[in-house]
Amino acid sequence: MKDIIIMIVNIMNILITTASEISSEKLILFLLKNKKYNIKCTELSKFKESSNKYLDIAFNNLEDSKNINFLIDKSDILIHFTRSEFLTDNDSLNMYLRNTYNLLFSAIQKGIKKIIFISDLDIFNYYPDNYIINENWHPKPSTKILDLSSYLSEFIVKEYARSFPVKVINLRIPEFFESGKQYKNEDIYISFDDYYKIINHAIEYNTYRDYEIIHAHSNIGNLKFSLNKMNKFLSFDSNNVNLHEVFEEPIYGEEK
Amino acid sequence: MRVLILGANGMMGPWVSKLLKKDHEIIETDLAKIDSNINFYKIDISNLNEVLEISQNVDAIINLSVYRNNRDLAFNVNTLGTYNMMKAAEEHKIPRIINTGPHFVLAGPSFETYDFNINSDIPNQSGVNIYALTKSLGNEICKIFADNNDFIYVQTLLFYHLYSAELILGGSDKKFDKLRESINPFSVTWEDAAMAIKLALDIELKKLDSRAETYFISEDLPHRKFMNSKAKNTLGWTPRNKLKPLWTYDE
Repeated sequence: MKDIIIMIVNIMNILITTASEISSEKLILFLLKNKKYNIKCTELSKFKESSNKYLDIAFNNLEDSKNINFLIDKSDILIHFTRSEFLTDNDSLNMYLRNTYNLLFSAIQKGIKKIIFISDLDIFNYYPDNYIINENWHPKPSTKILDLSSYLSEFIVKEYARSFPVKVINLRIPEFFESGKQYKNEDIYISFDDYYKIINHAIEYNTYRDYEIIHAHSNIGNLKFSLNKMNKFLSFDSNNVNLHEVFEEPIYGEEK
Repeated sequence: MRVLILGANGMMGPWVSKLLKKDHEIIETDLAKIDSNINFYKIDISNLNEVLEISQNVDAIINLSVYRNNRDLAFNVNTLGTYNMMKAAEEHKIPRIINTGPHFVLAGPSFETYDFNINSDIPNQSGVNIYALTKSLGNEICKIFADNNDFIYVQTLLFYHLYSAELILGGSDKKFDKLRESINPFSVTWEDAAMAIKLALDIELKKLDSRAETYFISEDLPHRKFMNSKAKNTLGWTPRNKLKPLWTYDE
């Protein structure tokens, strides 16, 4: 009799928001290559349409909690990306704040295990360029609506992390690299490849902290943001490393 | 001063207007008029254009608007409304902003459940209660606008349980039953609360320690849960401490 080998693969159900943004579309296509991931996409903004006809995107403005519950049901991980351009300040605040609150409310009710929130390094714009900023610095956003919205949506995410047993990674990134665009040495950006890499790692990473902030960008010409934590975060194997040892010493103690 | 009151027809508004109108020109706004209104304009605080228009040529804004339970309306009034007020302050160069809210804008469950001697210089930890969180977002908005505009001074006064002279809790129609209840450790009378707002309106702005100050407006209560010393020391506020019958038996 032939031996029957049964392989048990733990499928990870991942919900990705703002799915019609080009960065999200690329991320989804990248993650779909991993057969372990079952990806569900949603678009929060009523102003957006996906340019990729192969993606099955559920459009949802997150104002109806029944729709949200259905959407998020059985998801293990939520990747919440809010960055988008809006028509008015009101639309922006609605999109970032109200929708984030509603989404997380349902996510917690449905027992989601991990939230990866994509925020923006622009919330440090008002610090002088010669400062070296790491994850322990207080954001200092301008009153521009997108900076303000990013900062305030982080506030909501943080309060959920504080209140419920869910692991939250708050990943702050700059704008995405655009090929053909002229960059100066000091410009800060993140390439899509680096973005996929760090998101993939965040999915697999077993943090023991409830709320983990990571600053990430690609180029090293600009020293404004210390990338020590990102480099440490990306370089270890989460299966073999004692996480308590990794984060025992404060990150800022390693600045040289 | 020419003072704009947003949310003037809530429970706090009439107490504040009554106290301020002797010394200041008051503009009262809300969604609907009530009999006691003077110089009233119908304004929806969640409408930026309406707030910008009514805010022209005022010296100060007092925000008493609040919405507690409905998720959408709480965001509209408590967060978007506060943003609109601060946009008006920025655009019209209005230096004095007085914002209000419940104490758990700052001291949510992560503080209140565990601690005592809580002061008003702690970071906002509202938790996720929709009323607390939306007001807390409003408070963050105030701080960011003050941080970015060196002419704006925001004072945030936080309240919770408010009592009339008859010791009836605001929003209730019956007298407090001390045999079954215990007074909330964050309580004050309407008169004392309105006086704190008047003092925040009258204080010389340069005397403030920073351009975004927050005060706990609660009487001298025996629980020692929340500290009102900043309101006393900075504003010169002196609560009349009329609530003692609510936690003591008659001899």
